[in-house]
Amino acid sequence: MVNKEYILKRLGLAVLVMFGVYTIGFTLTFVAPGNPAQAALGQKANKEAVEALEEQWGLNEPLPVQYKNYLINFINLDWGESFRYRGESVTGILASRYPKTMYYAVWSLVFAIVMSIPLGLIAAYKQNTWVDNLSVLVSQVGISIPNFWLGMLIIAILAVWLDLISVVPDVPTGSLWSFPGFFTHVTDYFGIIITLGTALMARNTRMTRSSTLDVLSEEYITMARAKGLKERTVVLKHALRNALIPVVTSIGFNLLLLFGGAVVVETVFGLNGIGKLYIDSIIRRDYPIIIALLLTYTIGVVFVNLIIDISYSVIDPRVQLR
Amino acid sequence: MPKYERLSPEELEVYEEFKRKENQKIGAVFLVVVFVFILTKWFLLTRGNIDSILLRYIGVGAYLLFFYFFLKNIYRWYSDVNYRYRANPIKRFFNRFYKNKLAVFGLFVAITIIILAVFAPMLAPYNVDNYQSSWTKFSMIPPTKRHVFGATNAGADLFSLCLYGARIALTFGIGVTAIGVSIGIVLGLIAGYYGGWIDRFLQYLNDVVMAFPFLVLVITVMGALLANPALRESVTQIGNFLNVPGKLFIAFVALSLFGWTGAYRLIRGKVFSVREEEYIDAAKSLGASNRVIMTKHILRNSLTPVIVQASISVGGYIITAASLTFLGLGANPSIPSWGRLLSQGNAYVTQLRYFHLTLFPGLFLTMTVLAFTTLGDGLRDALDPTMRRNDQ
Amino acid sequence: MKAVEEKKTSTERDKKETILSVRNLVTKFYTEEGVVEALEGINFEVKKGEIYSLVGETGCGKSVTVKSILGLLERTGKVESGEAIFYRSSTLDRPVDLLSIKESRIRKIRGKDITYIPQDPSSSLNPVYTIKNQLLEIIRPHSDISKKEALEKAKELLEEVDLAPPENYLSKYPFQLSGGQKQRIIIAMALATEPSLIIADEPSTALDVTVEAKVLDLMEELIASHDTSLILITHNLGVVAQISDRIGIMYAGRVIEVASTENIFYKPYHPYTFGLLKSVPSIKKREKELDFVKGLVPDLYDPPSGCRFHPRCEYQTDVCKEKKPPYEEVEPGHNVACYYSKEVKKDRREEDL
Ligand SMILES: Nc1ncnc2c1ncn2[C@@H]1O[C@H](COP(=O)(O)OP(=O)(O)O)[C@@H](O)[C@H]1O
Ligand SMILES: [Mg+2]
Repeated sequence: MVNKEYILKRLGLAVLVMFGVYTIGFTLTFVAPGNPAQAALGQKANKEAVEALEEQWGLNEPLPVQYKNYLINFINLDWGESFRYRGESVTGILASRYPKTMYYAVWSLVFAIVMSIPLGLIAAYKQNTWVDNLSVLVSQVGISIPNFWLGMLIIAILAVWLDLISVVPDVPTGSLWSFPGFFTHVTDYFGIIITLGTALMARNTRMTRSSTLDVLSEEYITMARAKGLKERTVVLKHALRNALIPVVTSIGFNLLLLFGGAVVVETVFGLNGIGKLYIDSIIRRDYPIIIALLLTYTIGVVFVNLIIDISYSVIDPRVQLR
Repeated sequence: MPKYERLSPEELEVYEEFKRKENQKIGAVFLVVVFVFILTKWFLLTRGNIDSILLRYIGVGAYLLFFYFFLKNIYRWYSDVNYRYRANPIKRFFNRFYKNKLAVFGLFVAITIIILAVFAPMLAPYNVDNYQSSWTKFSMIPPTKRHVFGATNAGADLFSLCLYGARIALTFGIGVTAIGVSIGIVLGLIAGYYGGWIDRFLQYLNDVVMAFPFLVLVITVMGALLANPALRESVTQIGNFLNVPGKLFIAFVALSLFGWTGAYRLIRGKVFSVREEEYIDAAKSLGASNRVIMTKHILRNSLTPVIVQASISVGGYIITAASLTFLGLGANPSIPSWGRLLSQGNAYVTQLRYFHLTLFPGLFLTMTVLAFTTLGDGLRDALDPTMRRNDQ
Repeated sequence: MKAVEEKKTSTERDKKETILSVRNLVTKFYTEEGVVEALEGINFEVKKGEIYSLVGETGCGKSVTVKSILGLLERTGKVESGEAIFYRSSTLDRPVDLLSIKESRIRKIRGKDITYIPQDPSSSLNPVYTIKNQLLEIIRPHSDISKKEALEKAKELLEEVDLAPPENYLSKYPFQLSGGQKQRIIIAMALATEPSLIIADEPSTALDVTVEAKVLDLMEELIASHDTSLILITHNLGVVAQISDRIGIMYAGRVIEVASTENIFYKPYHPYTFGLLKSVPSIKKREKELDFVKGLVPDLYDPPSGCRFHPRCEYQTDVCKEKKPPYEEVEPGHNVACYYSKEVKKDRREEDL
């Protein structure tokens, strides 16, 4: 089913979008001369030192040259050093931040999917009953509640008042992605996982519910019943797989929401993931980090979307990747 | 399940009479509400805010009563008897809408918040001008009779601040939506009419914008605008001209810049589908007058989805604006906003006795967003039950 | 006295052969917009080995009739009263009322003793499963055979419906097949469990004319060779003229006339049937549909009082507006619901159909 041409075409499109992202990112950072060299050396630093640093960072070149250089360096995986953490390489900083955010992002996604699909399915199957009303309420509130406030509530209630979780988990990133660690550390990051996962859960519940409602009114469901199949078979075999199609397609969008959420929620939980890194870098004008974050993140999203497209054709045979 | 039948002339007479009486009731309740407002205000003036609590409760009660009658009567007018409403789209709309409890709740809360925002200076029991001043003996007091929500760390009345916070939130939510929808409609029409590279470019721009989480995009732009003195100056100047504080205006611009994609996609899709339709075949060459006709046709047909989408996105922009302020990037600190109050609350989040600073602004924020979300959902279900929920 | 006795014995003989008997079936839909009185007392019976056609304009309740009998109504639909006695249940030895037995029981009858061919073949196959998967799904649960035997059976069935070689079709997904092929597969499914009754709801409407004719011929053939009965639903009187044994004419939620095919065409007693035939220049003209009697099909949210046909009827009098006409036998095996059947008979002679 999967053909090479399709993947190449998709990758070509992805490269185009990345180029756009880079251009926007570059424009929004480099065009605004926040004078990072001065900031890095302090207000009292002398002019020569500032200029030397600017030269070292390539900031004295004309903008088009900088634009080109940055792109070439990025492709060569030479991402330079951070403006803010002098002497630290961008690669090293990203390598220490990404695993953490990825860790709770993955668990949030798991939480969202595990909760939302059964809830949406049951709600649609039992339309207009209390389960259905509950699911509608849960999804509306889940979509509307600002994630940072939810995080604050969880800290105040679960961590401080009931003392069930720790406020600021201190876990070495290395052990997050090791075998038992991956599962045992869930409790440490419980608060942020729920906080980030709630919005996704709400959206997916709503989507599962509405797509299941659509599917249940399809003629082939009536046909399945007319064949004398058990209700369980009708719902779990014939309805579920079709109902999941839009939910699977939107996983890429879910990742978008997770990254956006991490920017605020990591501040609430005081976690040094990429969300907080991004905010800090924006405020401190740490250009190399901003660009690197934007691009790596886009690569990730594009890649995930590609995988989803391919696996999508497994769920839905009508989709032939072309 | 009631069965609706046409009424005989005599029955219609009775029904009209009944409607007149109900209208009089609404009028009476309205007068009472106005009276109570005036009375409250008068008391506040003469007694210098003292002992106005009871009256405040009376005011709230009268408002609820008024709202109740109002809703009940609109429902009566539009959904009941007379003709079988199935044939009448307006009646059908109201009937569907009122059956949706969450949507009615949303409508109620949205209207309430709008009233609170508009009349905040009258309704707020305390002055909030100096709410940033230093620690006083009122600092962080928990809710009391005088200060129903307690006070902030500067000793300002939290309830008053929450009321004022509604102003900025709604300005952002409704303002950004209005601008975003307008830009989106124009770009969508352009893309649809001209096609070719213009369409491809806009589509590409849309793709790139959609590749970012909205908040991240806005933060990036805010960062750039704030870091660049020249840019900041010029935007601030425009802001000053419009009588809006600089940083706030920058946030507003940053949000509006990217709020167009939803309406754009809707309108563009509509233009293309209308062009496909046969009866427009003649207009395909798209002479100027044809284009005017077509635009009218398109706008009329996309009204419903645009309204629905706008209503839902109001909530989203309110959250984004609050997030920005929460992160210290949004509204100026001198302007009371829920995001700012919450970021203060966040500093004390581990101390339970200061929980009111987290709870109340957050409740206001969540309720407002919830109101617009449920309202939008209710509108969608009522306006067009077959409209697909592409829940993105 | 004697006449009565004779009638009695004749009904007894009828009963023996009857495999499904529907009496006073009333179904309503409770929608947000009001109550739809979709069926107001359906009466008909189906005999062993016959093709019984149910004919009526679109929206007159044909599909609802089928779905009520099989318990396949949407959530909003409710069977208010009536019975549908099925005499050939293979799991129970006695006649059962399909409208009142438990869901678990009717599930054993659906797909086994009574199978269903839906209106639109394209949307009736699940897009995400192969033909093999969907065929085996009906063969296996209803009979204790191994997977291999079931597969053999599936191949046989496909050959029977002229889809050869079967291997070509088994591994396909529905979207890879044409409308006619899909309809054949659905027919194969309907035959898979050797049912005693097949209900086909407009099995050919969604197909184009040449395919339609082929599918109908195939069905006639298969019904004969498998010795089952068929309820054939259509809005096109011409289509069923040649293949059906008896015809029931439906109008706005009621069967208004039932008779042998011959009688329907040459001795109609109901003004509606009469009107239909008058406007068909020739039975052979197959494309003619039933939408030519003056006026519109009534709105079932607010149906006309009394006889629902009265606003369009040239024979109508006050009694038609007030009371629903009874469903009576006018000749042996010929039932009509009309106060003025005799007048129709007279006019018919004059017109000489
Ligand atoms: N789910 C439903 N809700 C409301 N009304 C329905 C529903 N299904 C069918 N009806 C109504 O019942 C009547 C008969 O429909 P149907 O049996 O599908 O007609 P047809 O004879 O064309 O098969 C129609 O007037 C239709 O409006
Ligand atoms: Mg039908």
